[in-house]
Amino acid sequence: MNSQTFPLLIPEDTEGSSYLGFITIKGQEIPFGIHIDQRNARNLKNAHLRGSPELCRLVAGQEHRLEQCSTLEEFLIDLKDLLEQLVTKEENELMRSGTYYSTLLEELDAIGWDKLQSIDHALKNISLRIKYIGQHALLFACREAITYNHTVFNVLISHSDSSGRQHTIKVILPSSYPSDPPIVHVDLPTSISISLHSKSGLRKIISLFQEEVKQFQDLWLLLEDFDNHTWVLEPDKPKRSDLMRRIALGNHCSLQIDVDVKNPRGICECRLFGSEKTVGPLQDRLNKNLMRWDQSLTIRQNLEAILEMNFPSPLTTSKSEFNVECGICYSYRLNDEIPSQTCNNEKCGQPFHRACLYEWLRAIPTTRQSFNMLFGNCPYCDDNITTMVVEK
Amino acid sequence: MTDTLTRRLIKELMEFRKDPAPDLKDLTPEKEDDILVWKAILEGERDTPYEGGQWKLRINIPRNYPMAPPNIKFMTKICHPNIHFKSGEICLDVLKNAWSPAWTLQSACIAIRLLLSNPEPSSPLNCDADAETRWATNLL
Repeated sequence: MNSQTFPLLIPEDTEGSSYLGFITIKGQEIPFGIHIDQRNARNLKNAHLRGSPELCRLVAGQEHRLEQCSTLEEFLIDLKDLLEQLVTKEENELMRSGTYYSTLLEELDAIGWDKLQSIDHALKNISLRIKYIGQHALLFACREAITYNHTVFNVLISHSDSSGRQHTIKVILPSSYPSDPPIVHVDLPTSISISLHSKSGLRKIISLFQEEVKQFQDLWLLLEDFDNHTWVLEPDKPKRSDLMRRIALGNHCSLQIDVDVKNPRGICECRLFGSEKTVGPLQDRLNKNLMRWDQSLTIRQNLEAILEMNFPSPLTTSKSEFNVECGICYSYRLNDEIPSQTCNNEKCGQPFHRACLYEWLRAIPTTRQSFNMLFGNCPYCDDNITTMVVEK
Repeated sequence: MTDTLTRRLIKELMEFRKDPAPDLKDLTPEKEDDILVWKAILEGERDTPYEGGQWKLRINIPRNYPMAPPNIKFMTKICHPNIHFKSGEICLDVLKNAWSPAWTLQSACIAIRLLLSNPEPSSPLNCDADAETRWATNLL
């Protein structure tokens, strides 16, 4: 054993099967221990390496590279080589290429250093505040965690218009940036990333986003009119990309609309949900009056005129009147499903989750099944009720 | 299922605390760490032989509640044609095949209280009490 190469190694027992020591990697001493199975002294295949969590993490998955050694010294030299390689690789990951930083600096130059709010020495966390004409934008960037190798930028644009919408752009810069394009996450009805090419910098992303945002102003105005004047049952918290709304009409009825992104003021797709008796007249009115759709009115105004009713609004009613819980599990949301089955009996009208009603009906001996429909009785009023078989 | 079961039971408990039925003195889980075992205290209805009495019920809730009915037993001895004198077992249709998820623990307890004043002599669990009831009815 050459003690010159590894002076910091001491045997733990007299047989020489266990050693404790330090291994020097790039000037840093890493503590470790090794146990060798003496019965199989020809190679160190069964050598067991112990050490700090850092050491274990580095070596994990690389053990096969150490199995070939026949002596302890060889093993240690190999281990040292391996660790040096791994540490260097990690450092390279940490430090990105020069072009990455110069591009980022150029972009910051272009956006303007006066917009910079804060920055750290490694360019990991950058936050910017950008003012446009009539608009304020906050560009916020942070390197989330070294292991993910992500740089995350958030852009918040608050419009000066009365609605004051806030938008967020999340930009992830890959380590090979700028040769690889950034990954852009936006909350828009259409995807912005399609129109991005590899040379798109941050400035390009911001200007593209602004263009897109401008284009959707009318759509959002119409949808906000819905959100503010009706009880939206679904989606729970509408996002800017959501084109669907399901609103409460009262009497256990709801209306679902799907807005056309290209023509938001045009006739939208409508579906009514609820018991047959209450939905029937509404469906008739919808069919009869749909021709009178007026593009100068908002979607809500059009639908109110067509259905000849005023939608229940947060100003006049409380949501608990419509958030009617399922009569079986007593909750509103069950695995993201809302109670969509209602008893057709006018006096009952009890809503159920499809899964709950199916679970109940299938256990009742009097329930009949025809294909994937179950025919049984409402647990509340005993009137006939049907539901679809729910696949698990 | 356990999660939805717990949610429903908590809602039932809140409902009882908000708006308790008269004559139902208590309805609550017996222990803090087990929501599947409840106790209830019934008060005897006025103008019945049970007036002034208090009866403790134990409610065991099956895992598939409310698809299956709760198992309710009298812990306090009671003399009633439809209630077993020794085991406290209750013969009541809503606790058997007439159960539906529309019932709650509270409404089931109220149904039991109504059973006290309206016995069903056709399905006796206590034959002596049943015979006495029939006697009494015949005499009247």
